[in-house]
Amino acid sequence: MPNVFASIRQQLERQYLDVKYDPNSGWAKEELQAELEKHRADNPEDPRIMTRAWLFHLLCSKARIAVEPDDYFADKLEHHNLLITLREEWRREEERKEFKNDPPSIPGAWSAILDVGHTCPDWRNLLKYGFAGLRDRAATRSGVFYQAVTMVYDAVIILIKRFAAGLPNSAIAALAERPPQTFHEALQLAYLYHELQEMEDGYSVRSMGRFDQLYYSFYANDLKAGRLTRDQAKELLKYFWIKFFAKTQGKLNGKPFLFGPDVNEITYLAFESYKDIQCVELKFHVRFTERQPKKFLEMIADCIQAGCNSIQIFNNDRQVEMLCKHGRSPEDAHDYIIIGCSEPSIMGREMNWSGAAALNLAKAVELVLASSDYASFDELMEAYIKTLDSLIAISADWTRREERLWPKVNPSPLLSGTMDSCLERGLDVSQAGAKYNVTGYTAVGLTDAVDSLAVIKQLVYDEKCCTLAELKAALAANWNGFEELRLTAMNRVPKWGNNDDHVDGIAVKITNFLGPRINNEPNARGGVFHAALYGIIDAARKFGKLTGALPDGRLAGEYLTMNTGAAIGMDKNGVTSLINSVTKINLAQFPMGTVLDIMLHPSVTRGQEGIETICAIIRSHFAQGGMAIQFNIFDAGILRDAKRHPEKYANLQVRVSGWNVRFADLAPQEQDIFIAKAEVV
Amino acid sequence: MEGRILDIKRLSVHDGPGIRTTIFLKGCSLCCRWCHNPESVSPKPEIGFLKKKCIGCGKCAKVCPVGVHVFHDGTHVLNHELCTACGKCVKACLVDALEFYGREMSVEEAFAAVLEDKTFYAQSGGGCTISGGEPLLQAEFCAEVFKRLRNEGIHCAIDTSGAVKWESFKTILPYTDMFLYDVKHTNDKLHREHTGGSNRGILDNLKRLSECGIPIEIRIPTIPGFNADEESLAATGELLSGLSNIVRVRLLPYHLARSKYETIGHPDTMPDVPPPDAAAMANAAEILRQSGIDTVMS
Repeated sequence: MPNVFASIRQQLERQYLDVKYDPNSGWAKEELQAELEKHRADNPEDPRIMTRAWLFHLLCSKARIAVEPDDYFADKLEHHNLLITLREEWRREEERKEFKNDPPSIPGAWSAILDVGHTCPDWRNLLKYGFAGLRDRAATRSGVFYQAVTMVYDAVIILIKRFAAGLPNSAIAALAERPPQTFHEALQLAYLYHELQEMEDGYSVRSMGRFDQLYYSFYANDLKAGRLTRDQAKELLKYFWIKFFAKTQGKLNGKPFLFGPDVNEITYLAFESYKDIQCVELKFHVRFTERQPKKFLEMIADCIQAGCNSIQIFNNDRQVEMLCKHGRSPEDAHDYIIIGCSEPSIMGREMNWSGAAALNLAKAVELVLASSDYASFDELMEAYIKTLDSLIAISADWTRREERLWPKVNPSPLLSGTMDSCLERGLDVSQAGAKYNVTGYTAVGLTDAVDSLAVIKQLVYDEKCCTLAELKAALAANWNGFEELRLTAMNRVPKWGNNDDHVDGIAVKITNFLGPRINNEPNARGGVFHAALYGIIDAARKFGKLTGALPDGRLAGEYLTMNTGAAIGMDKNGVTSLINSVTKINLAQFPMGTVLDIMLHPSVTRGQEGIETICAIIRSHFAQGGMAIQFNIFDAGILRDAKRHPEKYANLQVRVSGWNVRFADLAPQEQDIFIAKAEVV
Repeated sequence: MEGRILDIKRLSVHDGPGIRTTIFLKGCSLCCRWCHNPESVSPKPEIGFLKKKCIGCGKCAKVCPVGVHVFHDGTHVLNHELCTACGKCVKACLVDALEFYGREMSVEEAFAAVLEDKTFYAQSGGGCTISGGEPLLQAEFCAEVFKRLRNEGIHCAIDTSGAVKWESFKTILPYTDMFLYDVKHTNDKLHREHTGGSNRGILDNLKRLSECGIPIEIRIPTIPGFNADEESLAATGELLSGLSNIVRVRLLPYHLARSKYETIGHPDTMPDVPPPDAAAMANAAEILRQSGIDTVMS
């Protein structure tokens, strides 16, 4: 295997931009579409899972392919997103039927969607049985579900044979017959499955599984047999990682790979190769425990220090304990992975649907102020909690109705075929075939809500510096003409994230309500909702746009604060106080995940001492009950320069609420958020 | 008992081992030309003005009883010499463009503030450092804070210039785990010229302290044109090599602090010299290492 990655990297990065599909290898889009229409017309009574399986089969056997001898992984099938187009047609149709008579909801207060992207296949089964084995175990059973699974895996095998014909001596050929045996074959299977899963379900943040646990034995066997060296394995990994970047050009939310808690050579190889190539699109999730060798966390810190910070670190033991408390068996809990950004889920045994529902905690402040006057802060707080309660009831109901549409919109035989419980029950994942069926419910904007309530308490009720009516007038005017009151609210009231018990107490009160309230709400698939406490940048933008001016001085339409951090510029006491604030919340009440963003100045993280500082911050956060943590290390001057001269900072990555993007790819307004955050460290 | 505090800095990683909380006390017995915390020199409270944050609202001028704040053509100018540090303007400034240097803080308050981050000290081998100014001008306050912190098992360090009476050291010795001790020059004449004080007491105190069994990190602010030359460094190296309990020398490169002088309306006393570059720092460290002393750079 020649060591040429560096020399062809650019070519590899561009591999999806203008794929040269061989016109002789299959049908054009129009032909595929015509065939689909004909099939639908001939088989109007087909269950939708069969229509999808049929279309999947058509694409694998008839759509055009491209093979690239320079690449180590075959994957390019010109499927024209036909499965997704069909899915979206069904989604529109079903949603129209279901929701057409509903009164309009309050814009920006909550959201509920049919989220099919947050899950994780049973990678262990994929590697153990291979595509052929998964087909065989479904083929022996009768019924529509098994037929669909058999059909899609048959299709995968056909596709593999087509690739193999154009790529003699590649790792792909054997996968038509048997499970992977080498490291290369295993990675080839993983990447091809990943692509086909996206063809079936669309771009998604599906987990790539417990990477080091899954692939170590393949690597070790190769080494033992003398088929592969450590360096070659590292080179192969670079080709593998770069595909994820090539697919999105670093502009989507990244693919999660899980490492630990047991550490092996694949763990180290993965981080070494990541640091070598500084690839943006990866998301490395690390399960940390004190039982790991000290050098492991130091290696993670070293990556973070070097600007390869697409890493989120999880408090393993506390996560396992939390998952057990929330319905998973101890054995399954130990097999947790992270879906999307921070959402724990069980690999291959759970549909956790983490992006389904979300609540805007800041909007609820606006609603409470609009609806009445309050004699005391306690009274206002009570009304606030009641508002949250009713918004949760409405949005959970809406989410359940979306959930019931799922089997009619997006049955996923490819995904279901990997899961033991789907096979045992004969049910697709959309029909609750998975062993665990939970629904994510994310609370967004905690910081904005807490800061706003703290301002109301201090300025209106404690110090009587203004009346509630005056404050409302200021908000109605988007603070125009109330500059002095706004500055007082911003700079004379302690804010969330500074270890101030009065302010933090408000956060504790809200979260103590939210956790149990959401976690006891039944979903429509025999499970429950699970609460999450974070806010990704998209939610901060979308909800922010629909939220008016807030008492903490925020202007109408501005981004809400992401995740659980302090508002921009308000963490005046620094990182230790932020951690002390956040860990006052019982974070284990949020089984769908939570994460803390840490911003540090490079002067704090220089050299070996800096690595130790990063490690100590992680350990301290976890020792106090933190669940997950991630870092940005920036000098504000550098970020300002990068905004002006993006060409000089092509590799500058920034961790955005749960994934990494190149700083240059952020919207100017978003760049300013990070610059402002860096100003105060 | 109260101390006069300049600032409390958390996640402090350059003032002793691990993650620390550093309490900066106000008032110094020296007046070094390169001082990068000029607001810490005077023992009296002072007002600092952060021009960049000022929005020119004029609230400060309205509340000031003695006319410190003047606005000329929209430019905010301070007559620092009139200021009695009553603090009214600081409270009135809603954009935090004015700062109060030298508030009084009780021992209990300081203790509680440090204790907040005890998890971080435990996880990093860190603790509390009292710095300044010259912390030992308030030795009893330091001793009282440390006494309480030591009961909680928290590592306590003093960052001193050494320019105090030995009695002050005696006050804190029973409660101090480590000293960060500045050695600026072995030549008394030059020392007087550049720091406003003699080095004799400093070096005597250092010798006595080195016999107390408490680890000492020597810190040398590396100032071009003063002590960064080979001869000065070699002399310092020789002096230190004869002492016990010196765990290491840390070289701190001089850096410009002009804006801080502007903040408090003092003239910057340092002539224009560029900060030493990495090569000069490495060279300085090498000279000290030749005396057999472990030397690191910050």
